[in-house]
Amino acid sequence: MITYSDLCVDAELLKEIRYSIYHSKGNGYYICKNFIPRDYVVHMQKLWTNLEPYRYYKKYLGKDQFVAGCKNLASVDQEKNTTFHNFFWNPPIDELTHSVSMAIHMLRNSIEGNIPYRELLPFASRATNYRVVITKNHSAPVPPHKDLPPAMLKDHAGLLMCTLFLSKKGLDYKGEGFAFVTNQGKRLVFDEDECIEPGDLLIWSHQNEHSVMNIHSEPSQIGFVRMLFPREIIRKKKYFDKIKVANYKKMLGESYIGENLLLPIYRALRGR
Amino acid sequence: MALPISELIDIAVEENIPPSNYFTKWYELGEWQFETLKDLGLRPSHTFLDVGCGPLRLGYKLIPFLDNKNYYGIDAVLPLINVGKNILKREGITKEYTVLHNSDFEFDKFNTKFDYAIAASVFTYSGLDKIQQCVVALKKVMKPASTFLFTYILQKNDIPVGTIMDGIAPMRFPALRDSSFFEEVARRNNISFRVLTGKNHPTGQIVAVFEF
Repeated sequence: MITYSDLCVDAELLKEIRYSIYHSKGNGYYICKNFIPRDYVVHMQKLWTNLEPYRYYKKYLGKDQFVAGCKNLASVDQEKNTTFHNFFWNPPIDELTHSVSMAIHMLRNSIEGNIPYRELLPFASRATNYRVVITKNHSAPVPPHKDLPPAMLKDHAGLLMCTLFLSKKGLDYKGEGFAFVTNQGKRLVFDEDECIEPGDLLIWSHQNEHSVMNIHSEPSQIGFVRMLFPREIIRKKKYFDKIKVANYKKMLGESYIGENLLLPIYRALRGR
Repeated sequence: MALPISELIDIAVEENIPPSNYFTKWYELGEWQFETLKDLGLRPSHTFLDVGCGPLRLGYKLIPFLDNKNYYGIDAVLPLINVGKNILKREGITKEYTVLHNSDFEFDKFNTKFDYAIAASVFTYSGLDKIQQCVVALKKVMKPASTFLFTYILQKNDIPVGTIMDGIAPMRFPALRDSSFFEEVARRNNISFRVLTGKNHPTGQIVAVFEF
């Protein structure tokens, strides 16, 4: 026999995780060792590090593109540092990644005390973007910072971030990688001060300072590959249309014809 | 000396309750309830019933204010009650009080009559049948001319959306478009209803009283 409760995270385990993350005597994080098995890691490494971003994804230009129902987006720079922004409303490029991401999203919600599917889809203003990040070479991809300014903490004290590690320091890249300041103010460099393996899921508090620094990899190495699950503000389509109109107006105004012909006409008409 | 919010969160986490703005807005909301009740005439000699007392955010202010044994609280979620007891212990509050874990508004189990009562953010997440059940139960335990303070929200539509508080306790929004439901409940129970203006609730809820 199976019940709904069997599919929920055990209350005692939740207590252990919450203590580890939120309590002032806890670390500010919790590691789910071997959250996904080795063959899943290998599959996801191969798929994402060999995917041509712009063949399957629309080019990411900024968060204004995060509109309800938008396509998945990707960005890649000259060093081949690549980010894939995936949304749950789109058909997945990889069903395994999609499924694992959904499980992580629901686990995070359970720890936070939310309904499991909250912000899976943008019923309110936010939705989760399951992001695959591949850093090949970058001196400061994520400089030290906290995600929430102190003024916002009052309303978001329980918010968590998750990192699913998909590559190994030393083997796949060199450098510092992910670092985190604990609830007691101690700075930990992961895979130096705290062991972390590909397939491990790190759940951590937004309030704590964190960084990713000094990543170096050879062409034969896949780099620092991980997944993140930020909840993004998702705008309604109407907002996006306004932005587009504003952009077109700006582009037109800055063009030769716009500046010398259309703008004078527009101004003359407006002044009538 | 008030406990820092980080310590309130520690106590909640020890009972497996995740941080929420219930704790980060602890003092702001507790103070608002306390001052509003005093403005309505609450004095130390009065007996008081806290419906949906949770982790004693109001009790933390009221228990030291009221005479010994005059505070009674009831809540459906046991871990929240335990959080409240621990907070009072750490605050060094030694006055006696009574708290009951109960989800059926069985106020008569306290074997006392009340001068004042409150349901702060309780009707906000209660179905209409639950609200009526609560008022009928209150009628049996409230003294003549006693006052019951409560808060609620109005919705643009009348869809009774269900929710799960803290991911564990199922609840329903009452889907009220105006206050006429409470006027009807008052009429049916022969009590009076009025909306309190000028008592701006910190989260924007409507504030009202039933007078018995």
